[in-house]
Amino acid sequence: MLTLNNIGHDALGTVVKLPGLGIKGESVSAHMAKFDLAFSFRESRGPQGTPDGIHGSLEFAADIFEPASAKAIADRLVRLLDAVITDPDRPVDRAEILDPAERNELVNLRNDTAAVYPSESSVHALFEEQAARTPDAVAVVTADEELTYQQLNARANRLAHQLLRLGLPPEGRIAVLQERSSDLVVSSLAILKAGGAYVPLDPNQPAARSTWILQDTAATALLTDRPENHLGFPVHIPVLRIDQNTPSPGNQPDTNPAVRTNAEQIAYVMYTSGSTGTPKGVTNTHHNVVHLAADHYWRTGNHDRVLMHSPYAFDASTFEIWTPLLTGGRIVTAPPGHLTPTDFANTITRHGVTALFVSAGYFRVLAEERPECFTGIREIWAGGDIVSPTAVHRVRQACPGITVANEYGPTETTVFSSVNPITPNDPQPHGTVPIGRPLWNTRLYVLDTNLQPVPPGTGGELYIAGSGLARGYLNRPELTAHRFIADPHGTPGTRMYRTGDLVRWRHDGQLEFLGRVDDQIKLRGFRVEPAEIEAVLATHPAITQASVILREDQPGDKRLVAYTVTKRPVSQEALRAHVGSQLPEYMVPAAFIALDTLPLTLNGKLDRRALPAPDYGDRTTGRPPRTPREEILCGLYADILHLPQVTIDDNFFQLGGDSIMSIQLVARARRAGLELSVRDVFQHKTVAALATVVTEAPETPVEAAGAGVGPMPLTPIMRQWLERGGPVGQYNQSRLVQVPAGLDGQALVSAVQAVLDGHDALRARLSRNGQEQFLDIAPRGAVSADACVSRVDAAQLDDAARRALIAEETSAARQRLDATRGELTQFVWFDQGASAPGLLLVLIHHLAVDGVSWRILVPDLAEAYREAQSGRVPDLPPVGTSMRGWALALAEAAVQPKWAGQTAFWRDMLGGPAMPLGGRPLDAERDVRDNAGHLSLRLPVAVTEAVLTRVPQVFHAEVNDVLLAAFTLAWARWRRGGGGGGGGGGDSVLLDLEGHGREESVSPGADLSRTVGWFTSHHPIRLDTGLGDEREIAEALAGGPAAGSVLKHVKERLRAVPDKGMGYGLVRYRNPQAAAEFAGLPVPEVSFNYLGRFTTAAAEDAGTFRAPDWTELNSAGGFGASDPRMPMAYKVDLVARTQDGPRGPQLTASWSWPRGLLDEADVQRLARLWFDALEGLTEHARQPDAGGMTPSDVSLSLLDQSEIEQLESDWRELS
Amino acid sequence: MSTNPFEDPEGTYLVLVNDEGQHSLWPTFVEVPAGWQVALEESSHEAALKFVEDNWTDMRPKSLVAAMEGEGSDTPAN
Repeated sequence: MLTLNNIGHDALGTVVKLPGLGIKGESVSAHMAKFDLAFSFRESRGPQGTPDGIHGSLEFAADIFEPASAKAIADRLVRLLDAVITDPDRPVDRAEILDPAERNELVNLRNDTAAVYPSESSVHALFEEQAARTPDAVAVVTADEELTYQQLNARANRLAHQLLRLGLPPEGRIAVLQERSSDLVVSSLAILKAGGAYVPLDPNQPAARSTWILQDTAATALLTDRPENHLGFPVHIPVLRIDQNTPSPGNQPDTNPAVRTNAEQIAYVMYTSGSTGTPKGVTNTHHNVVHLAADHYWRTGNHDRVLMHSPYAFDASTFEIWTPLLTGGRIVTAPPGHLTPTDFANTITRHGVTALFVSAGYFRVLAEERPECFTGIREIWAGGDIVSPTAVHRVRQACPGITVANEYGPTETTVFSSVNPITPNDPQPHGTVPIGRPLWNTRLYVLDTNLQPVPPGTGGELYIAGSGLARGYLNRPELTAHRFIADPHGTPGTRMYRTGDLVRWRHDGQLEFLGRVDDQIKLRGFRVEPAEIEAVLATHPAITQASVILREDQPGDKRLVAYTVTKRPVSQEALRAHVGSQLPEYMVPAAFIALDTLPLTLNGKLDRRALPAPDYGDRTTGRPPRTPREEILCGLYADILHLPQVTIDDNFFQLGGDSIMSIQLVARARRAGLELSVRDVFQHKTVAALATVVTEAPETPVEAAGAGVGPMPLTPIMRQWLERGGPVGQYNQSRLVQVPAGLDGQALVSAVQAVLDGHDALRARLSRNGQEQFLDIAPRGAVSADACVSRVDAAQLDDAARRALIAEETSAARQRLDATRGELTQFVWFDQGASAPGLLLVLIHHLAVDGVSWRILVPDLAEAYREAQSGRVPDLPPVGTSMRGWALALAEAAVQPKWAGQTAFWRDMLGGPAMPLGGRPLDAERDVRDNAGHLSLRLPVAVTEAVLTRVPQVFHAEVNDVLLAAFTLAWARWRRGGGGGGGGGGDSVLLDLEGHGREESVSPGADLSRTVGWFTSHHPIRLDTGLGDEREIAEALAGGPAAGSVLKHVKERLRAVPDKGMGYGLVRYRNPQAAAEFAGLPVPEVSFNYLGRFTTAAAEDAGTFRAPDWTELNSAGGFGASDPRMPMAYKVDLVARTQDGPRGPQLTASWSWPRGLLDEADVQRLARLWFDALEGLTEHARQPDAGGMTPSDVSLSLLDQSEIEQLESDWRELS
Repeated sequence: MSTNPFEDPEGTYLVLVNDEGQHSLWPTFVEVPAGWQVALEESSHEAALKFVEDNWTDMRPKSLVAAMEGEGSDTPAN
């Protein structure tokens, strides 16, 4: 709004005259903005009516503009008016409206990103230096192979020498058509070492496109893992076959070829969609790659192990390969093909992946289907398209501690140009997720149509300059000069890349993506020029006109749609085949719609709004489902494709399905109990065909809604616990959780209700039918949150008073539990007012939770609270297999031969000498928690580090093996010295080991990833040192070679346990016939449980703003959550955990024992001996000849331990 | 937002070249940045791009060409 008042204040007096009254104008402010911005101007005049300036004022809506931004707008207007007056001939749009400081801020300060890096080194020279520094570090790991830096270097060298013999010129292009594997890394490296540039060919792209790229690049050779007759396209250049069966040429030297390579030479050529109808090859140099990959950013530890899973022909592969290799990290290669959420979770867990890149679309689907599949990842980079804030939120919820970095960057500027890392301490972004600030050595300009910077908050086109700038487009000088242009704001003579992306600077210095200036589309992370698809359509003889657009008829569901005008009718299938033969799958439209004419707007452009939306539903013309399995699949198709119904003859892809949706299908099918792979979907396409190949476990019926409700048999762990005796009502687990200051009590009740309704186990009641006890699961809604939530005022308390209050309330909450009445949960909110975060005690009967359950419950509670607080009804994601479904499956499995057949194994394990520790059995009346002794000791950081890393590495062992070997050694020494009251039993110890018990393989198709309940498994194991006499034990404790032999002995013993010990619980507690065979056998009197590694908020941060909301702070065990009358289950109970602290990891050992049986000094001796033994193993692992394999490491184990050691020693002598 | 200054088929353009021999299309109405020389005076969009196509035949930067030829290797233009 703009008003100009040229009448003037005093003019009023001349217009209105009333007798006897003097009249004068006065401004009155309404104090209420009627417009977002209202400019008003008032002319003033001197006494003689001469002009005396114009007063301007700006009124702004304070809920839209900050006072500073409003002032900046006013200042710019004044500057613009000045400029126009100073130089009246200058066009208005060329006038400067930024002040010099603002301009400097935008052009220089925000781009002050120069970092030191080896700008003159080639990629492979840096790799070779790394290989020389850490030859034995692992460089690449796949499902079945590990290559060290030295091995990778040697392999690549041999291949490089072979390439050189072909006469490869500098910058000579070599095409690579290989599946994801360690060989692919070898090929990339070898090509660079030989002075060439690699050209990825996507295995999934049509032959025509591969042929075109081979010609465009004038490739000198092709490296492939396929037989020549399976290439699918003709080649007239040498083909080198690279695969497992033809190891790289052994007759070539494995020394570095030392071909001089200038950093400005090109390292690879990657093709992206081109608007002229042909793809264009971006030429990236060694310099570009080194700039990106050798930066310190990657060296914090977050990027130690990077997952390689993106298509090689997509420039994320530059990040995935070179970032780890140039910084001493490790590439973890995923299996070939599209990864499902399960594949992600498995690969990440198995190889300890710490970082990965994922495209925005893929990220969204993974976040929707299974956000916890990223558990273990420290940093995830997502981008290539608009990243969904909801997806970011879900992943951060499911994986606390993860950093989600939203990146932006075209291939032309080498993978990443800006980044916005959202660390665990950052708030959740609202609205769009900014694409962040410029990367190192990168300058970003937001310019107007005169190539001048626009003010913050104003949209402009993004231009990128800096070290990531590629050389240009291969063989396309005119296209290069058109997009890579002179940089008027940088060092003289340098260039910048014109992105075609619309962005704006935010006031906090971050960039926000707004859209495209042209028709280019981003689909699943790929760049798509509709013109390229239109050009291919135009080559079809029947088509006279074609237009391709991206539609989003369902939010988040983007699909390409082609509109065609044809001379004669052509089927959709024919057009799809035509496009599919020339373009990659992601560029094939989901629908082809024939029109009589393309609708145009008045000025002759395509009228997009007049184009009809495709009706995918009208293609569902087949048969209805005939079997329950088909019914499930049809339902899933319809859900994912957003269709009212789907028949069994409909083709998934013709209905608009794509590869991302097929991943969704696999994930949801798995939840419904059907196993299939993405490959199956691509191969079989229709429900009818797919139904013949999916597998479903016969013992796991697909769970119908409500299958989790009703009576359920007890799980083995529940039975074991009940057999122990004692009061059952209040046995619980608990957590203290930090909650937001000024928590909304009503929203908390709604959130608790959502959690109670969403997790069946929380509605269980311990019931009895004659002798048989069971759990009865009440239906959703049967347990009211109001009855479980209470508030306690905890404001203004000092630390001691607060602790006392928590202890008192915790004990009271525990006493309110009653398993037999179905009262299993208590939520106590310690309200510390609006100025300090509160604490929430969550106390749940153990029948309904275990350690893993908390990782589901606490994030669910947080998510539900946020939804409730923002006025929505909380809706938690569905649970796969219910607790009840799992318990039924276990009961069924227990009597089947596979498991029942393990009875003898477990009987033998328990048989053997009894260990009458303390001289009498446990007494459920006397040996209760109230009479327990406790001792807690910490292992020094240096020893903990070695125990977690070096020792297991050297011995190919797990941390648990190391801890148990030391325990066995300590035990032998302790017993021989009279510990535990002396007595027989020899050196061996019968231990009880705990596992999480969620071994889904027991019931194929089960998905327990979101199931809350008590799943824990226990199994006995008898361990001995395998050493002969006192002297050897002393040697082992002192770190001599005997230490190594104890570790190997114990490790093999542990490996001999089948199925992670799941069978013991099944036969002992769920198979009545087998159970009888255990009568009279000894039971383990010692329990050993290593919980793993934890990073929790520091204790001193509890209840302060330093700890994030919804962080688990502690167990409330020390605050009175334990029932003092509970009988102790073991005579020696050791629980160990590693806590990551500021000085490093530290292992804490907590020992408990009945004071009536053992005395503290005696247990203390054992505790010290255990630490001594750990130090001994650490010391031993430092010796050069320590370590080695054991029979379980050798796949076809025909060798025993002594033969393996003989081989290892022979090998040492040879090398 | 109005069209990008490099995408106006009716506009007039220069072709600029820097010391590395790299070419850049340039709208006539914007001042020529430092470090660039005018290789083609005011021309049509089409003519300017045609000029680049005809004249920028080796896309390697000149300093790289010098370094590579200094080593006596024969290198294909690309």
